[in-house]
Amino acid sequence: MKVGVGYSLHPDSREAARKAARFAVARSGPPALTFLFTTEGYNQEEILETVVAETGTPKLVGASGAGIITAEGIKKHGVGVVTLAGERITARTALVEMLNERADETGRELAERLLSGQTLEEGTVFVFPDGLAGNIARMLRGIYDVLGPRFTYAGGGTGDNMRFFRTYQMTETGVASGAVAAALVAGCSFATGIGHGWEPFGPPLLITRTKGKVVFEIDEQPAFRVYSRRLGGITGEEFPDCAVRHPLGVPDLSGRFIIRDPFKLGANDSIEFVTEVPYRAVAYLMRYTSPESLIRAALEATVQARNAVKFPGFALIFNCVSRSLLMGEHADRELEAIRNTLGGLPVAGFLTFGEVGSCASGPPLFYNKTFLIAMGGTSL
Amino acid sequence: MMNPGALELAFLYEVSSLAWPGSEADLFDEVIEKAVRLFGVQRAALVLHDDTGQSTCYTWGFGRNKVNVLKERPGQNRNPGRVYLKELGSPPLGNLYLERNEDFLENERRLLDVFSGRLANILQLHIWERKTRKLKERFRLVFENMPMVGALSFDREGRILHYNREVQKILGQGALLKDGDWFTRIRPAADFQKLLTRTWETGQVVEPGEWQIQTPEGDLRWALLTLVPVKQDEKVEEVFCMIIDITGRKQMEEELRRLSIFDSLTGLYNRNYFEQKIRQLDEEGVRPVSVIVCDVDGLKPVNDCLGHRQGDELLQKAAALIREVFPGEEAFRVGGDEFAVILPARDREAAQKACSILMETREKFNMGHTVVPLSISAGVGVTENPRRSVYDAYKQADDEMYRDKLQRCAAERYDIGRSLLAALFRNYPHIERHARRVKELAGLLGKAAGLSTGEMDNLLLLAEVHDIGKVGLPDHILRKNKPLTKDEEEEVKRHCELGYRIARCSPALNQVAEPILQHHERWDGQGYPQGLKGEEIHLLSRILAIADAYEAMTAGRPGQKVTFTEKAMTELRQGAGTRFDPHLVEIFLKMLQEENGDIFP
Repeated sequence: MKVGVGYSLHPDSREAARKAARFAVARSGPPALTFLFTTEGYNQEEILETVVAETGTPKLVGASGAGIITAEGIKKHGVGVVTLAGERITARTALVEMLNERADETGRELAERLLSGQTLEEGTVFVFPDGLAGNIARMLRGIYDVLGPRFTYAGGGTGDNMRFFRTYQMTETGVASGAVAAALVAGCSFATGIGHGWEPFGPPLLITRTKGKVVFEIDEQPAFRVYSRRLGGITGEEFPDCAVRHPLGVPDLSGRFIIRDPFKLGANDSIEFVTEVPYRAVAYLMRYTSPESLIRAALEATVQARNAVKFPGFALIFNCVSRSLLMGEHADRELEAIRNTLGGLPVAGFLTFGEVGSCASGPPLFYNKTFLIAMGGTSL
Repeated sequence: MMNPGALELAFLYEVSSLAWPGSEADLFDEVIEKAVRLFGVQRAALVLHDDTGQSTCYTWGFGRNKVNVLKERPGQNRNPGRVYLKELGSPPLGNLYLERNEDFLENERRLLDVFSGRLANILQLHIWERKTRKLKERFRLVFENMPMVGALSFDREGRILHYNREVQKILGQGALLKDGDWFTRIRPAADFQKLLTRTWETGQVVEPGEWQIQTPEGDLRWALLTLVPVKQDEKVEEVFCMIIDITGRKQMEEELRRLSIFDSLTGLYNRNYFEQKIRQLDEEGVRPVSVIVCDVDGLKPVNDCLGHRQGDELLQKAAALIREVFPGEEAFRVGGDEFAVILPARDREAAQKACSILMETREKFNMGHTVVPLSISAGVGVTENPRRSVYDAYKQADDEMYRDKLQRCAAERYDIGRSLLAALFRNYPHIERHARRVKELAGLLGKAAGLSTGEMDNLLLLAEVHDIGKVGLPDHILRKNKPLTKDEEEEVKRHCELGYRIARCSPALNQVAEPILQHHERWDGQGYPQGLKGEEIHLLSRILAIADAYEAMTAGRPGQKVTFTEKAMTELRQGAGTRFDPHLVEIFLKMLQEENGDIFP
């Protein structure tokens, strides 16, 4: 297995794509699969067209983000390309429009497309849903319904430069918005590690009325009223800033917290989250105490993933944009620490609007404000 | 990380507070979300049984090949510790199947049991809710679309809570819009208000009762009204009122009641009510009670001769007479031609006086009212002893009436023919004058033709009564001064047959029945009603025809111009051998010439 990673910050779409693609292909040779990560401000179609042409890749999966992750740090504008070559590597891709009301059906259709043709018994599924569209958690349950527990899941919600306007999903077939792009990769081992570093504080909250992404009531009272009271009586104007710093956490079976990111206020003091909040769940208000706690969580996830692959070859990082914003200049420190931990392995990725991953080969879950690393390599 | 105790409590809350999310598919999605996040489940299935015995199996994580966990039992080949399978509820409403790649711990199974129990509760609640919704929907559909049954419900303040289309028709939309306004439309209003108050106080169903409702147009309609209080915690919270418009039924009942006690022909009470009245008087012990019984004489011959219409008219006239004489008493038609009047608290003397008045009035009544004269026989009966039935008085009166009929008929030699003839002549003097003159002419011709004494008697009788059939003709024809229309002429032709039938019914006229029938036949066979000709026509009829025609031509009846004798003779001569018997015309003309050709100046 050979991996090539290249990126370019060139402002011209074709030029940036060409440089990044050539750099990657020069390292890997003709790829079986190409990952493409972009940011806003480019002509996405031109990038895709150029990367496909330059790499000659038969399969490509790509996503836009609030920034790309490179070995030299997080870049707000740029194009990143990862080429994966090897005789044993096979890949299939799919691009499906997200159905808002029937997200699980979207997931099933996507999975069916990934499975079409010769049956694959195992592999890794990279999923890049539009971070602004639909119920992604439910869409992931639809994928898993068809693919089942034999596969590893990783990915992240596509994003933009925090305007929350339009994000892009790509395969070799084209560029879409409001869709989900995915690739099923076999012949290459992937292990994932997840961590966030958020800590709970205060007594538990009960999510007493919710539908999908909207929480209407917490503790049987209007959601924002409770949220505000817990934070010392914040106003609606203060909400966006507070929401970035104080998401909710719902516990999983390991006792860790799955983060749910408050997004905006709705009617009757309801709160809309980035993704669904479990109905009748116990939740905690979360906070971060220092950049170190976040970095520590990312490093733990990295170590966990690296240890799970016998011969690690490269890492794909899907890191939530809000972690990066919170950490500010410390974000590059985090990346540097990760690179140090990985010992110079190629690294690429993008800043996500939500992260897709699974614990211990379980079904994929959708996380917020979380760091996710997929370590690729070989087991032999 | 949460500490294990707090984590278990949090999970306990989550698994025990699951709620119905709106659909089975959404419920399964909730189950998956919690099963994955809280228990690390990798495959899940939920089988749901419906009330028709059908099952739906939702699965998750089994890949492209769907399985039915109950039939295929995917867990049987796996480590049992890694499978959780539970029946939901008893009797089972479904099954929950969960599977993961490591054993479920004991405390996790305890939490999953709570989860399953909650799931069973939700399903049971959902089934009840669905059944309740279905029942509610059925009730709503029945309530709103009940044909002919108006229904509404109202609260203690009279505010209408529900109403259907039918009640809008009965009460009017306006009455429903204004709270309590519809109460005021129920009659009697005070009684209904009392009933409402009692219903709210007692909470008891008010059985269907008949009330009247004033419609928006101001009409009063009958309604069958039922009040059904709806209680909540033993307190009446709402009252349902069901209203059926029974106006049509009431009208029919009234008509039936009327028909059951009234005689439809005469409008008097009928025999049925007569019996009831007697029973009532017997029960009440009212004494004395007198009964007058009247019987119409000669109804059968009138029916037979003039038809049942005339007979019915005669009965109606009798009833009118009785009503006129006894305006304040109850009068009955107790048989075909028999009437009775019950006079409570009247002794025999008073009853006999009343009966006399009846007979006197009959005479006056005949003068002014009828062609067919009304003749009645009457009798009086009295019951003074309370232990004897009024029926005895009726029997006495009936017996006395028969005695009266026998005596009076013997005395008056009552004969229908004679009676009708008298009435005809009384009402139409020109017919009597005509008959008198025809009788004289016919007598002369008969004598000249050499009739025997017996034939002469019959001829004179014939001449007198030959037009008796006209008693059955309409009055406007008999009094008409202008020429008759064709239809009227056809109507007039009936008088021959009518006359024949009267004469057949009348012992006094029976012997001239045939000549009456034939008196408009012609010698040449062109006459009516039978078209006889020549000597097939009775001799007396041939004689009468000549006398009748000559008198008609010379007398100048209404609608006829006076024809001079000579011209009449010429017409007779011209009619000889066609209209009239030529031999008899010759005798008649010769007789007229011998009498200076002009016997009636």
